[in-house]
Amino acid sequence: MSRSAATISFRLLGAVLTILVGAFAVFMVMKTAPGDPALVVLGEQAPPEAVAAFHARYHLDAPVLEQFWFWFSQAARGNFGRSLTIAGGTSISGLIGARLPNTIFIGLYGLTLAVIVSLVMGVIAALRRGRAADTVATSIAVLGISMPDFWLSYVLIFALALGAGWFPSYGFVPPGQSLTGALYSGFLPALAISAPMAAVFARTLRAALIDVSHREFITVARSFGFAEFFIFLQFVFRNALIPYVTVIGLQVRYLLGGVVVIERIFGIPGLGSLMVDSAFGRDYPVVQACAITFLAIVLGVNLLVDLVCTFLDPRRSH
Amino acid sequence: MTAPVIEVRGLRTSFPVEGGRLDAVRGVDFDLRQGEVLGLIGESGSGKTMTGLSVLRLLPEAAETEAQSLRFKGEDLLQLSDEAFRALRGTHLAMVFQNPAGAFNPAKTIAWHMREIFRRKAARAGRSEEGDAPRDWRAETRRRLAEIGIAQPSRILKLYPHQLSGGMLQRVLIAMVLALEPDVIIADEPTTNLDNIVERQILVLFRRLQKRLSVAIMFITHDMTVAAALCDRIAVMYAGEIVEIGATSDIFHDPKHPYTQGLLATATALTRGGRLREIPGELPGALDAPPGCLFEPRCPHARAECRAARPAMRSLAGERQVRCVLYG
Amino acid sequence: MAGGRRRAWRRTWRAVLRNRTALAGLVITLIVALGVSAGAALAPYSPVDMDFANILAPPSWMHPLGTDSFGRDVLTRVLYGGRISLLISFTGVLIAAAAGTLAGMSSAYHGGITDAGLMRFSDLLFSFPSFVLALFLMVVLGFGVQNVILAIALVYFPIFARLARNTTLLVKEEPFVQAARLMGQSSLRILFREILPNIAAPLVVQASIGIAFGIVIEAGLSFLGLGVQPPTPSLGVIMADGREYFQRGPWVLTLTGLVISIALLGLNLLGDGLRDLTDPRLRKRAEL
Repeated sequence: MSRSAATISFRLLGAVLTILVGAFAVFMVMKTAPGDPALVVLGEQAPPEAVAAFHARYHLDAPVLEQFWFWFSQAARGNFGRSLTIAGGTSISGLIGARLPNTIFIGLYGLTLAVIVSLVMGVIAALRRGRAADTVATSIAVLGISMPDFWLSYVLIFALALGAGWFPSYGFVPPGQSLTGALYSGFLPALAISAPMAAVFARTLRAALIDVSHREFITVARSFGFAEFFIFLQFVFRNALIPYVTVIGLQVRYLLGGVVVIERIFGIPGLGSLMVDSAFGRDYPVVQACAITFLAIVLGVNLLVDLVCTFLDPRRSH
Repeated sequence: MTAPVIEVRGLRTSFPVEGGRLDAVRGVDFDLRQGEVLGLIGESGSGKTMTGLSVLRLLPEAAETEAQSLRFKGEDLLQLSDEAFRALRGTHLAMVFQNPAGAFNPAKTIAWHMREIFRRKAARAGRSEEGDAPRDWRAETRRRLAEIGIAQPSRILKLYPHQLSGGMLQRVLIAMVLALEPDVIIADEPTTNLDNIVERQILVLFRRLQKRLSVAIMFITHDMTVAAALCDRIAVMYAGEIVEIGATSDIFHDPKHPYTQGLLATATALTRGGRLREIPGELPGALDAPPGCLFEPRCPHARAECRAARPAMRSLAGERQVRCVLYG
Repeated sequence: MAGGRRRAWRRTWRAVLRNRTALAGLVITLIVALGVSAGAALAPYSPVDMDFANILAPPSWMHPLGTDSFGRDVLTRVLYGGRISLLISFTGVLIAAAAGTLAGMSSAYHGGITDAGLMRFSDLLFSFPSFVLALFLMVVLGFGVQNVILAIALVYFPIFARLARNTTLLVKEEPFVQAARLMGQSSLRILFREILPNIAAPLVVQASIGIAFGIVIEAGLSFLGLGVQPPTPSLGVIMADGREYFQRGPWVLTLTGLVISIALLGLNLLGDGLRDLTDPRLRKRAEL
């Protein structure tokens, strides 16, 4: 077991290192962005003394590396500074803290829907391979991948919200406030996000199931007279899980990307809409903090998926 | 003469490939009797493995198997549904596969595999379908693994298949099949990957099983020496057909079919192993099979009539059968 | 040698025609591509002609996709916008493919620190969600068509770099590469003559899929207002417009999105079909 513990710590270290390097890169690149924050906050006509004072206050006149160090030492303590324009003066970590749970909620909601749908579709398609159900499922999957999630959102809004009136087309109830409210108001956005992902997952699962079912140990298992369902569960499905989970991990990057636009469409106060707002408002410290937070989320999920895969695959854990 | 445990008549198997159908087994007839070891010898590609798989209905759906009759202890296997046939596997009929590394579930330990074997065995004993393994299954596993020459069975149980060598896995696989104590074992090249000493141990084990429990064994191999050592009768296979059957000593001392003669000539010419290589020519491509005798292109005694039609099996004295026009 | 390669191309072409998925994908993609390039020129309307008498007209014979809030013909806008979106995505992916392949190939071929460095850099880029990275780049670079192209290029660079690198690692051990090296051919020549043709297939598949999602990224950015800026039409810009008055004229957004979906479908099918054809396992089965 200590070997696994060592591997985990090693990977964790790697993730932390990547975040550090990423934060550095983001910071440096952000510095090249056009515009002077002082002018953005104080206005174009601000007097030079005010601008100079602003620069001094925020260390904008120091060498770049020193600026990074200053920013980083604060960030490591959880202080990402304050918003410059969009939320004038509010602590950024506060902003992120308020918004992040919503993004994570919608993301997980969508992911869960995608997993459930893909498990059903993937298994059916593999079991009924070559027959009508398979073709139908596969075609749906191809269509699912081809629909950009923000377009699908509007189709859903059109059909289920404005049309049938079953779900709200705007406004999100945060889970902190009411879980049922969040599940209800978050259903359409989660569904929109889940569709393309479910398609990818289903295809992967189907391919993996078919692939494993052709391997020799399946014939051997059948030769022992094990029940078909037992073989499917313990031999086929169990071994198809590894590529399936791996793909889920890979898709998180797209999931988070899609969330950004979905949040805008449905008016969800999440990390994505924060980043978009701050992009428009040229609130660079917020953009920066959002980018780094997204990076951290991706790395965290990668680590988690990696651990699950290691656990699932004896070849990696032994 | 005891009644055959397995009776096969006219077994044919084909499956679709690009360009047509591939006939892997072309009308095979044989009996497998209780307590005997029947050797099935042939080059690779001769259809030996396919025959075994066809009898056990283990081929993929794309493959088509048909037979005039296929009986186990008199019961017509052809009439059985897939589910009814499944009930026979693992309990009465079992197979030892050729490639041990690919035979195990990579996600599960050896212990898990053995436990499932014992549960299967318990299911046969008439208890609930999902039988529970008897309490002492671990002890019995250790005993059987030791029996087959594994030094530290307890250590092996905790390991995963990828952590064991091919030879070790083959031994575990054989132990698994032996533990089931089935009525029929089809063993497909079970000792190919093992060294001499272990091979000897396993052959002894098969012999013992045969004597103790009267298990009927179909031993598929391309190794003449092993066949000579273990088998009571031998069937020689070529291009999907059985070309000669007879008692082992008869076949070895007096091979009738030209192909068998060629095999033995090669075997004696080489040292250990007797691998079959030197007969000039090749197996016919399965798609372009000639209408006449399949061996005719390589046969030193070929005659005009050989090319005309596929020769039928001729019965000779002493329970010998040969598929050749030279004998009537 | 040259004759053999020509025959190989012909064989490949025939295989493409036989594979239904690739064929369907190719057909759809060509229709879309032709539609947006030729159609834009042939359309009777101009994308900026406003017709205030005909605001928000639903689809009809005169305006197959209806008109928007300025009375502009939506179909024409979509054709022009589609051309721009496709061009942006195509250019971005092309740059990424060229740069990434070059970097990946030489990195794998020469190994060492440059290899490790490139991989670390790629991994870092790859650790950001694609759209977030693109968004970030738009903030840094500024909005507009050129920068969207650059953003897409940067998002896809690590994918091509890693793919080229991994496939090159496999191919560089092949005997014909060793032979070329022994004959004293220069590294550059080996990379382009021997290695590149053999790694081209998965790269093309990736490019096809990449262009598809590049369109999505562009549309998303422009939809948010961070990409292509109006009045230049792009599919995302049109959708953003359509969003303003979605309740009164839902066809603008919905039908534009449909066009995107069709283009994506075509490109995805094409990529899928090509992947089926070039998958080594399948190829082996086919060559049986």
